[in-house]
Amino acid sequence: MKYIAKEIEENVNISKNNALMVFFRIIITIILILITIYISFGIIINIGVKYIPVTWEINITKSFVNKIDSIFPEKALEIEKRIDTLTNNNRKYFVKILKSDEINAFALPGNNIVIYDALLNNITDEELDFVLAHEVGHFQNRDISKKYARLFIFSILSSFISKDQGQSIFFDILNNTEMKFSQTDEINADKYAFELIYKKYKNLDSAESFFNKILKDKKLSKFDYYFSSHPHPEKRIDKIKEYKRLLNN
Amino acid sequence: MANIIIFISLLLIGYFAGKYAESKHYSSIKERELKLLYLPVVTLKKTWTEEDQIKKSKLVTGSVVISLDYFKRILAALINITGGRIISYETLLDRGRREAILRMKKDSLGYDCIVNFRMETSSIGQSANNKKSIGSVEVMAYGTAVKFVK
Amino acid sequence: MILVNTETVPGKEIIEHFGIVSGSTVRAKNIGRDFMAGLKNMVGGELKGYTELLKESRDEAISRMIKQASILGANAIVNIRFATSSVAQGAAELYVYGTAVTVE
Repeated sequence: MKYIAKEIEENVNISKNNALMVFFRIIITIILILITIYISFGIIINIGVKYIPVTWEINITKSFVNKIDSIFPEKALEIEKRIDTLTNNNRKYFVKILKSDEINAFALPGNNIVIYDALLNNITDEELDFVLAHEVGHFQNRDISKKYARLFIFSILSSFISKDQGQSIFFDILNNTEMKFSQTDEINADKYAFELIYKKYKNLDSAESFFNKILKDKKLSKFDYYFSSHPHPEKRIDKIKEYKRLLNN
Repeated sequence: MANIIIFISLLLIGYFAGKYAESKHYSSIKERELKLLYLPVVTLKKTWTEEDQIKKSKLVTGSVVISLDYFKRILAALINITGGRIISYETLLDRGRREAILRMKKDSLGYDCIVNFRMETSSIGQSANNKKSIGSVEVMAYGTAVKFVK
Repeated sequence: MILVNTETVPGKEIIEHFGIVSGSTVRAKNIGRDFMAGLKNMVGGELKGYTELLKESRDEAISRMIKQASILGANAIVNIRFATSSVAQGAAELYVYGTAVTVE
């Protein structure tokens, strides 16, 4: 049979879509969906947390927290008693002291407070009272529960993003946004702490001296870790002044 | 932060380098296709009648392995989420197939036609832990080249 | 356009040929259907989502091949072969090729 040599000009096996347009379209759709999910989950968690009683949280987290080995158990008990006097035995709080050169203290779900011994060695007892009252403030506002519930949900969501690059970028962005929102929580925890401290000491000197310590020692960078996860000490000192003004009115 | 910067720069490098490489490859393919257009390739078992005499015949093959650039890879993964045509893979396969056929034709210079043409595609480059990766593709074209007595 | 996968169109004669024509598509199903298919893996049976996906791919690939043949001016494609390969999880690549001819 005869062969007719003819060229096929049009490339039918390729889509005419511009790759760049498709790329941006998909990225924007995904980002919008993620933002919607983030906001709606945030709202749901903020409302839902009120329905989870604190006793549940304590029971659920007990087995995890008991695995943390604390040093200086007698000092830990002493600190727990301090919290009891501060809060007028409102609720039971559990303290664990861990060995570290980092100056930091943080809260875990279920009314657990972890303190690094470097913090204990660098502040006075009164300043410690303020730090404890601050953490108690977080627990009162259910900040810790909200944060960990959010973390849990977003870990599940991130498992749908399968690329290795994508996951680490996702967490980077998530961490940055979480930190910005947590600054408000910190200020509110401060407000609660001011009330407790004022009730015991009739002044806020301990809080002020703690913030000044962080400010001054910034150059020696001893308090670096504490510095990065909380609002700027100057801002917090401003809040003290605000509180004092409110009291005087 | 560093992650995002690395990611975006890889994307940009992939996009521009890939675009350049692809357009160069396509122009080379079109040029060679025009030159070799005289040589027919069919999937039929024979294109001749009883009168034609066959001088010689041989098996001819052409194969190529082509890979995606970084931008196309990420685009393919994104399209995998939303569904639809994976446009980055289409050009990869198209180039691979046309290149393989051209190499097969080159292998059969001096022959009159290629019959019983078959094509095999296999995807290579799926790394062990990342089963979902879309990597590179190997295309092999083969057929029987036949020369007539004229 | 006549499509057959035999050497000749039964009952007709091939006058001239244009060489091979081919059509190919790569399609991905969206992540929702992927998830459903993953669940179905536990129960077993037909994965309707994927059957649908492959059928769509096949139809599109064939129509692309027909388009190539009509550009050439052929009126039939003979000796059609299919080749399916998996590109990635949830994406299917389909390749159809045949010889474009004019029959009478």
